[in-house]
Amino acid sequence: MISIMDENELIKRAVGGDLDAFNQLVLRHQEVAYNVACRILADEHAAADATQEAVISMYRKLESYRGGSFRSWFLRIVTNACYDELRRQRRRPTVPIEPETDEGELVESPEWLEDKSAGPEELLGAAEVEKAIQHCLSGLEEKFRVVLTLVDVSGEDYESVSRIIGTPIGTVKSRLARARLKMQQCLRGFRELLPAQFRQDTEECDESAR
Amino acid sequence: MNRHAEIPDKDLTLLSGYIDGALSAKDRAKVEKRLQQSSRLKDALDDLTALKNAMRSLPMKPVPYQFTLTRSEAQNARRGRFLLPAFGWASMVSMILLAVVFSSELIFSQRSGLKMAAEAPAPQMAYSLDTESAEVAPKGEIEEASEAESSPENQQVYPLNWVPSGGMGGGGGEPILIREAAGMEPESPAESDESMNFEESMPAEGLPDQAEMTSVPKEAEDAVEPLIFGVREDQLGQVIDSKPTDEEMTAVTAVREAPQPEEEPLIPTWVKLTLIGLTAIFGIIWLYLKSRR
Repeated sequence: MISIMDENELIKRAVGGDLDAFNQLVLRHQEVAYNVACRILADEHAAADATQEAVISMYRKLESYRGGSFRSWFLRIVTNACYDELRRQRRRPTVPIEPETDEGELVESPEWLEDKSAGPEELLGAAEVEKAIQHCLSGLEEKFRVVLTLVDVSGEDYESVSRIIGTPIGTVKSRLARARLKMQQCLRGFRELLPAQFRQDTEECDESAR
Repeated sequence: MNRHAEIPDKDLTLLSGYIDGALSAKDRAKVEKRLQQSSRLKDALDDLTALKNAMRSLPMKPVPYQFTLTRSEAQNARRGRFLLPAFGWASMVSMILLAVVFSSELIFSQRSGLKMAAEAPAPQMAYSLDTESAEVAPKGEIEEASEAESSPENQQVYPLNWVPSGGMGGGGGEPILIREAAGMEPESPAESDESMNFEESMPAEGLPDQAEMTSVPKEAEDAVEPLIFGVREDQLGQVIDSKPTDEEMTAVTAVREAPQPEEEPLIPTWVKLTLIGLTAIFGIIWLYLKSRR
């Protein structure tokens, strides 16, 4: 178990130029940082690059660290690195694997995801649920995606998210509610892949529509 | 259409905060009370909870490699950490200096232009006022005024594109217009004098005699020094000659050919060019370093 005292000591030594102490801090937080980057960027290679960039940037900025949660500070740098990566992707767009409409928007249909040769049992696998969630997450606007990832994937509280993305708590709350609503709307297309709660929800909607 | 679409955003935000445990005790009690009353809100809460659980249940991906830094990576990272902000600040400072230089030049040039305009006399107005005073003034005063005007300090030279003219004011222009409209050559000064003489000799019924119309004696009709280049007129203001003399032409040519003193710029050109160059260089280096990061 890592105590706060240990972390503060490590930070102090790292700021003083101790590379080993800095690397200890990186090892403690790299997994959550990488996973946040993965969910925001929806690309493992890009996420690894962004996390590495964030670690280098953090090392450069160590002297500007002014206390508070080190994890939040690290996630803030990771989030900024993800924004930079998304900007780069927009400047140099690649051909997406997912189908797009003529306007360039992702088709929120599960058809591209379904493996026609696979049976229902395989489709209900956890990996497919993860793909569906990641697909819907990627379809969200960046500002919604980042908030939802930080709260539901990384488990940050509102205040921490507010510090990480530099917006008021009220904005974090409203963005989170909007993001969750959009996610639910998107996941309706994946009802076969989702837990019973979602299936029940969408089936009730279909029946009421008839 | 999602069934939560009918739920107001405010309620969705409250429910979202409720499942995250981020509400105050008062809001929490309020939400719980409403949940007991509304089955729709209860369904929405269940859906939000299911989504949150699904998100939280996503497996954590293992890191592909350790993101720790080696000694050499750390040295490289520290080496370049001052370059980007240094060049960023340098380019910003040089840009501000450039803006100050150009804006100050613009402001000073406008001010000096206004000052020169304010200091310069209004020659046409002065001329017309003097002419009017000459028409009503007694001969003695006219002579004094003529002497004052003809002195080198007070006399103004107005180079004009010289065109033979039939006179000044409303009286002299009309014959020229008629002649030109008829396709004839404009009359020469001599002809102009003749036509004026003709008009003067015409008896006008009911009109007072020419001598009664002016209080200026006959001597006042003598030619005076020209106030407008090339235009000579008598004391009554009638043009008697509009061709510049050779002496006048020589004087005007000398004035025109005299070297004009060049205005020195407020800030030397080499300073401005250096600033532009530095701004460009710092900006390019900053962009290069930024793109490498």
